[in-house]
Amino acid sequence: MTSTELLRQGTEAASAGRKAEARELLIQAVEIDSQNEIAWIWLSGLMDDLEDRIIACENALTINPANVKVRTYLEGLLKEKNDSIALERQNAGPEAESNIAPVLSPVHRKHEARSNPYSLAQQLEQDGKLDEALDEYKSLAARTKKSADFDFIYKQIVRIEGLQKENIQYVPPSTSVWRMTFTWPLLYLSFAFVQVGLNPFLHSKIYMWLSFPWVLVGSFFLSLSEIRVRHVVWQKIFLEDGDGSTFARVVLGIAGWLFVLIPFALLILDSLSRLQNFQIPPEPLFR
Amino acid sequence: MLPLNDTEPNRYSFFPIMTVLLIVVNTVMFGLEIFVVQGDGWDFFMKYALTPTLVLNVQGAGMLADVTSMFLHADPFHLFGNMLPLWVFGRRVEDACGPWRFLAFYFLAGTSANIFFTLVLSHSAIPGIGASGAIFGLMGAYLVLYPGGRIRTLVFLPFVPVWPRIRAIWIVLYFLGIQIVPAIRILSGKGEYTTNHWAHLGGFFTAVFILLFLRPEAYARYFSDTPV
Repeated sequence: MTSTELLRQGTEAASAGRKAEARELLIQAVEIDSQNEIAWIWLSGLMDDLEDRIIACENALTINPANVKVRTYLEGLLKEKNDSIALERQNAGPEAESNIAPVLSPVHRKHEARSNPYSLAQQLEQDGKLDEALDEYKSLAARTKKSADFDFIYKQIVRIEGLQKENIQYVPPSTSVWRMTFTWPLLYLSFAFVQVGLNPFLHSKIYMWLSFPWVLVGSFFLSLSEIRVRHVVWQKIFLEDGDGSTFARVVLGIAGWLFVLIPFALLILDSLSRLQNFQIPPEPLFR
Repeated sequence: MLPLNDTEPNRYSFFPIMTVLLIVVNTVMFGLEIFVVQGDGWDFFMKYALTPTLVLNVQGAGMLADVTSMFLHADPFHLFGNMLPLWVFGRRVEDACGPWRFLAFYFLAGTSANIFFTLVLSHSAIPGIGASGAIFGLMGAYLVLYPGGRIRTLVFLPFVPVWPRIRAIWIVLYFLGIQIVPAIRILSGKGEYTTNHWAHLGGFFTAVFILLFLRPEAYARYFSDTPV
């Protein structure tokens, strides 16, 4: 059964008041397709546990950060959570925290395995929404328990506040990817131009024409591995959501270097073979 | 006039690894060159320096000679005269680009310089050597990225050496200015061809591509009325 079909059945079950069945169907839907925003939104209302509802909201926002309704709902849930923690701490002491473990652990585990906790903030920043990214980081800072995580979040807050203070213009990451893609091909073209005696129409070889797209692709991979940006490459090649995991970036970076270096190596080999057959001309009279 | 140092600190990286590496490689290559070159070194320079007539006739090592010529120098003064500005102007350009794209830009500037002088002096059989074309590219890039930058410069006033911090634009204009007249004289056949002024000018114009090589943060700063 497809994710869409499960979503349809789940929403029908929820509308008919069969909450448990609806929940089960929608969890199956997001297990098949974690990018199913509507299923996450439904789950955010169907979960019994507050933590699970927050996670479902965060997942929906990761898919579509522009959804204002979900964001407002999430803010309400977070406020509710903070209030309940404070209340439980007051009433029950230190043991209270252990009572808010999520009931719906599969959703929780899936969420943590698939995305990092900073993905929403990072995506907001990629979209140029610095204010919202800052709010998200501040919200994360309030919720985090590990000091290392807090340090990381604090650095991001300081960095974004610095960008706002200096009024740094927003440049879309995709622009940087395209801009930086031209660097290595430009160098390759200049080397190839020298290799063919500055006359590509008379002296060029077939490998040079074939190599150019390789350098272009390699340079694109290198740029993409360096810049955090959501791209279809991460989904199509690495079957990942978001802006690429560290593993995917390293693999793409290595592939990029190979794609770039092989055509340059071919040029060098061609030069060496020419050098072997080179008859040094006699020293001119003027010397 | 001798530029000594750019006193501004790096913004994005701690250490200009590629600039230092280029200086080391150039110096080591010069050391090897002394041992390898015998006599006047005609054969050696025909193979590893860039000669316009050979390039245009598709003879010799082609792009390999283009690269190796950037690492060859005529004497210790030539080497020092190139490595000092490489340090002065290269450090912060590398900071803005990142080491690998900086290296790509350095080679692009050197190659553009070689292409330019090959086109202008197409009948010349004199091999061209030196990193100066690439370094003029870095000077141009520095001027694009840090137009208000100041360079600690040694200036020899009569009997008194002074080292004020001079705006980079005046230094670059000075070095460009002293290229133009000799370059025109060489072209008209009146000047003595001992320095590759046309390569210097060709390298300088490569600076128009520097924005492609910038790291994203530096690129955003460039268009934001804030120092890169």
